[in-house]
Amino acid sequence: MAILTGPETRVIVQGITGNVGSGFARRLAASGSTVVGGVTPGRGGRQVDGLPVFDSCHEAVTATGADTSFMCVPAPFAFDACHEAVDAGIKLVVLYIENIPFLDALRMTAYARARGTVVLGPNSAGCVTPGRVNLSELDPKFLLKGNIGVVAKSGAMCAESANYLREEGLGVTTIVSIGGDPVLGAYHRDILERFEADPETKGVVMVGEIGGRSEYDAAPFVKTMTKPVVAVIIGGSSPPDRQMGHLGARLGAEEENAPAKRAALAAAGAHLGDNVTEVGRLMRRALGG
Amino acid sequence: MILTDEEGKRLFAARGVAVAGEGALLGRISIRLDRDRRCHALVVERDGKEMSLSIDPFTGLLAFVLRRAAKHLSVPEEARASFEALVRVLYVLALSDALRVEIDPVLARADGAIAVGGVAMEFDRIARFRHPEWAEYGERLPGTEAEQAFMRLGAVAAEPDPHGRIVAVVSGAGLMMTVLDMLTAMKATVRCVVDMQGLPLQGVEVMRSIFENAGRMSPKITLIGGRFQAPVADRFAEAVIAANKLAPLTGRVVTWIAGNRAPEAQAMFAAAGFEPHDDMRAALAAVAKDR
Repeated sequence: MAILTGPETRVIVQGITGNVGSGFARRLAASGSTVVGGVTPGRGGRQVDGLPVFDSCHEAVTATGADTSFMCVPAPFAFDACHEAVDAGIKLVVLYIENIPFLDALRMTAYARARGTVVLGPNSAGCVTPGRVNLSELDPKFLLKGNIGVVAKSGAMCAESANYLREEGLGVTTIVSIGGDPVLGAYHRDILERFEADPETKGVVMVGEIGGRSEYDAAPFVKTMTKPVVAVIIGGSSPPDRQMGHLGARLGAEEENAPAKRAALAAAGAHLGDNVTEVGRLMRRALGG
Repeated sequence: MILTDEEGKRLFAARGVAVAGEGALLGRISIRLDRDRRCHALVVERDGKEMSLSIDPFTGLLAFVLRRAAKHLSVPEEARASFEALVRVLYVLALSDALRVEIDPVLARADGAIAVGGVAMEFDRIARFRHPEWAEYGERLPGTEAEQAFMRLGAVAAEPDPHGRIVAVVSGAGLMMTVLDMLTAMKATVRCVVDMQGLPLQGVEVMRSIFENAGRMSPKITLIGGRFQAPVADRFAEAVIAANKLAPLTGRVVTWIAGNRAPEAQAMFAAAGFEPHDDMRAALAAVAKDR
């Protein structure tokens, strides 16, 4: 099972003729994903590494049956490209792009939600189900297949979580980076709901950070979950009013800070770690191992 | 990009809004980005009581939102039209990539006009590609001198302790926060923590600039770290070592490198006289022991 993707997932790369896009088309295909083509307006009819390039998402979907897009277009074109993907019927969009204006992110994520499309990002490292589908910058050779779901804003925290789970002999079902920008297509709760419904997933690691209410708002759902949740909130030592790498990682209102998020998640029954290096040990203990 | 009060007032005056003058105090109004609801929010406050009204991105600013805002602020009937015009200007600015537009105080004049007492405004710096008119405001960067220097390179830095002994340069926002959290928990004093963003593989000259910025803080210990998914850790190490010859770091240099081609990178760092680690916890402990 796993979440978000399956063996039938058919992927297009928007922006496939650029350096980043063509590189990802190769990497994703090499790690087992079914990449069926790409889109770059005005470049239709060409090929990139044997993959057909289409002028539009509509053409790509019609010709290939694609249902998923990994988007690498330059930020100024992301607004149009994301709307086009949703309009063409794409059901999962990974916005790998960073530096998308907040206003554009707000509009495109609202549009996608209204049309039933899941958007990861902006500034998402993607998602990966080891051994099946890779839609991420992570290299599956470092991932152990198993029963733990991982959701984090940060791509680095996705990789670190998988590493410290592996140290405890625990593998992952799906790893999801929801992105580090202030406005996101999916928040922690959206992904936790999918992990809870996934029979293959036996526990979830959730890494949150300062800024926004995503983690705080996830707490009521964590309380209802039947699977153990190990949670870490990073950025608690950040100086006030500083952007900590991610555009969205900035101390704000009380419920946007680490202590309130930790308290809410602890009250919901999550197993809290002080930092990401503890997630494997905590999950092992939560699973009764 | 933050505008001054005067610059903000000029923007409003250019759109026909009355600026300053005498009048009855109504309160404060602002339009902000509500990141969690994925919409703008019109926030009105009078006598310490705040009301936040969501603006649906599909419908825009509807009349009922304006009526609720006016009622909360007790806008006089004769000033309603002027008030609504003012809020519409705020919304137009929000749709022009303003992250926050705040008017404080809002005044009701005797002639029925609503006047702007003070303006605070911040635009989304990322959207400057479609706003050539912003060039007149120049490049205004937030933060300390050191943070600004890294920002000009395309990196992100935070300087939590100007007397700290440690500078940490890492690849990834999550690592930036994690390293600061873990070093702080170990009672280490961190001068500055830097997320290189997309810079690690942009060559020796970029890395040299990063080292020059770090060197200006005279760190006793510099930590360089990252986990590489693409097979480039050795290329990164090569750039770091070359940059250190051009702009040598003072004090100890501790490295933590993991991921693709990490063993090669560690061997290169060891040969260059750095202190390489393949485990983040060990690297941070090595940094913190000399805090």
